Amino acid sequence: MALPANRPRPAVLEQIRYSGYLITKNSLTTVGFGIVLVLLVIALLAPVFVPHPEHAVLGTTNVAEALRPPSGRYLFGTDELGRDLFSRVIYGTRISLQIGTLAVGLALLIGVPLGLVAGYLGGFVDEVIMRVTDIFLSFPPLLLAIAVAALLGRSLTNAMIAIAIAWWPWYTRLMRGTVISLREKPFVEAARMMGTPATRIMVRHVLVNSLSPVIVQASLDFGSVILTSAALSFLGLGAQPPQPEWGLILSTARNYFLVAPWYSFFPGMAMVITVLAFNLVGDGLREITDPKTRRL
Amino acid sequence: MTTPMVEAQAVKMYFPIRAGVLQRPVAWVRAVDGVDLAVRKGQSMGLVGESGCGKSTLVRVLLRLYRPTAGRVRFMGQEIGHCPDGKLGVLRKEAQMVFQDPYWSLNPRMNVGEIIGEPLAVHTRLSRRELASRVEGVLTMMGLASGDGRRFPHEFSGGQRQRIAIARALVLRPRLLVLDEPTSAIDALSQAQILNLLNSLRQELDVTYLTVSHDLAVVSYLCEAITVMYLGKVVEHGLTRDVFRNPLHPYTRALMSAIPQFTSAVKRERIVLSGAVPSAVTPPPGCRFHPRCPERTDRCAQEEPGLLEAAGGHHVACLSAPVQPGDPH
Repeated sequence: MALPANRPRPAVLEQIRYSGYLITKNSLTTVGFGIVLVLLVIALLAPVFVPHPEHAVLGTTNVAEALRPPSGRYLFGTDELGRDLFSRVIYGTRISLQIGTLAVGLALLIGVPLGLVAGYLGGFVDEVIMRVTDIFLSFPPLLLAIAVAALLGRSLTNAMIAIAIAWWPWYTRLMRGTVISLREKPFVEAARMMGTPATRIMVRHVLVNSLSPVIVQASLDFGSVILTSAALSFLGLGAQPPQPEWGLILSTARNYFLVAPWYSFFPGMAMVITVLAFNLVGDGLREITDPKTRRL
Repeated sequence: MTTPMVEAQAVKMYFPIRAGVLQRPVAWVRAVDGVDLAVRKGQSMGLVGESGCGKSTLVRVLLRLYRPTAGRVRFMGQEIGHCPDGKLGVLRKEAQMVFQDPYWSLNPRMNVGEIIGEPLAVHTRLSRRELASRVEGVLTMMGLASGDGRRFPHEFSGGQRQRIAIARALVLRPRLLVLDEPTSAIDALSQAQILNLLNSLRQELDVTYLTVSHDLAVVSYLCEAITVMYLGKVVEHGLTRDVFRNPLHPYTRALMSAIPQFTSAVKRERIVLSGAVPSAVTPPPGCRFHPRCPERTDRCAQEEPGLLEAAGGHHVACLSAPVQPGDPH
């Protein structure tokens, strides 16, 4: 509605070009999207340009070269077992993006349908679902994730599941609010009046119109989820050695903080940059999906 | 007498006002409070009244978007007020509605073809191609281009969007079309076009119309019969021509006097009502209109007038109106 009526037909290409324009309009958003893109490329191409993939994926050690400072040979230095930190941090990107995608994805998969059903059906169903989310939301998310991870056993997969379990109620709440405001809109009434089955109304009319805020929230959460999983790994509940997970690397690195500061610095920076980039992207998406900027 | 298209008997629709920890209803909004109404097959009936008088709620009860608190609703002879949702097949197929707001009445994420095709997808088993050709047919009937089906609602003006909404409502060839303020959200020129279109469509397709409006000009143009509501009750009902020529209820007279006139040859006296519409939570006792009525008597505050016949088919609910004796309606 914010668009002038004579705007040319929004073919898919046109939409993409327009999104591109909105992304580049704000320089911080551009930086965010740029970094995320670079991170994706790094994660995908890690085996191609990393000098010592065996230090990252296999348990190979090289104790003779332990704790070397950064140099031409070892860009980020080496750890206490002589493994190339550069290779390990780069491979860590893979793991972190994987965790972010899977944990947020799983949380969305649980949270969005529940919020949709609660908001659309209301009444008793709504009451039950919302009280359950209230219970989950009354725990600090990290604590809840720690408890679940401890319960499930130590592994990266379990850490992801634990994070999803701590995160889904937020999506349920957000979704429910959006759905309630859409439920009374005339196009939903029209669909009910013409006898459209409830499931079809929920998917074709309500869901597609309520995803924008959830997508924005999910991209903002991507960073927090990576941090939480790093925290779990730091505490020994997530990734297990020799996996090159940033949190796990940091938890070993802290023992050598005074003698080998680079050991903590590089994985820490990688984490800061990644989380920052996803936050920038989230903020940018919020602006892009704002109905005042456009109708997405 | 033949069965009416849609018929309401003593229909009440109360909405609870909940409060407290337990969310118990503490009061009720009596949006519709005992209404009898019958729309004959092929008729075009207008439902008029101020904002908040319950006219929109009434049509939503007639189409079973709401379950009435009390009373009976029949559609084509079938009781639909209280039956389970699964038994509404005929109603959902044969009765359609056009909404006031042409912006929010179309799903912004669906293209026009999908929007208009949805009733067909729900009620018929047409092939994709047949469906597309039906959609195209109805688009042309509405004066839209056949290629418009691939475009999205935001690319159209208010008037065009209302045509799309009408196309969606008519694509199944329903028997009853409910128009909820069909022209109040669009500009004057589009309004006139839409009204002309609706009038010619009615003759062409043999549909029964039920038009809700606060605009008497729209109703007088579109409708043969008119029902005037005030605060959840029907105050006057009759053929449009009779009601316009000889409004019997003081409220109807006040409404009529508020129609803007372009000619000043006949200087009509404007009846200005004082005060606001009373709350539907605690309606005034007796005649609901009496606190604002310029012609009230002492009786009006105590006795509630029934809807009685004054002349052939012309009913009024007013204690001072000249009604035929002994007609309990």
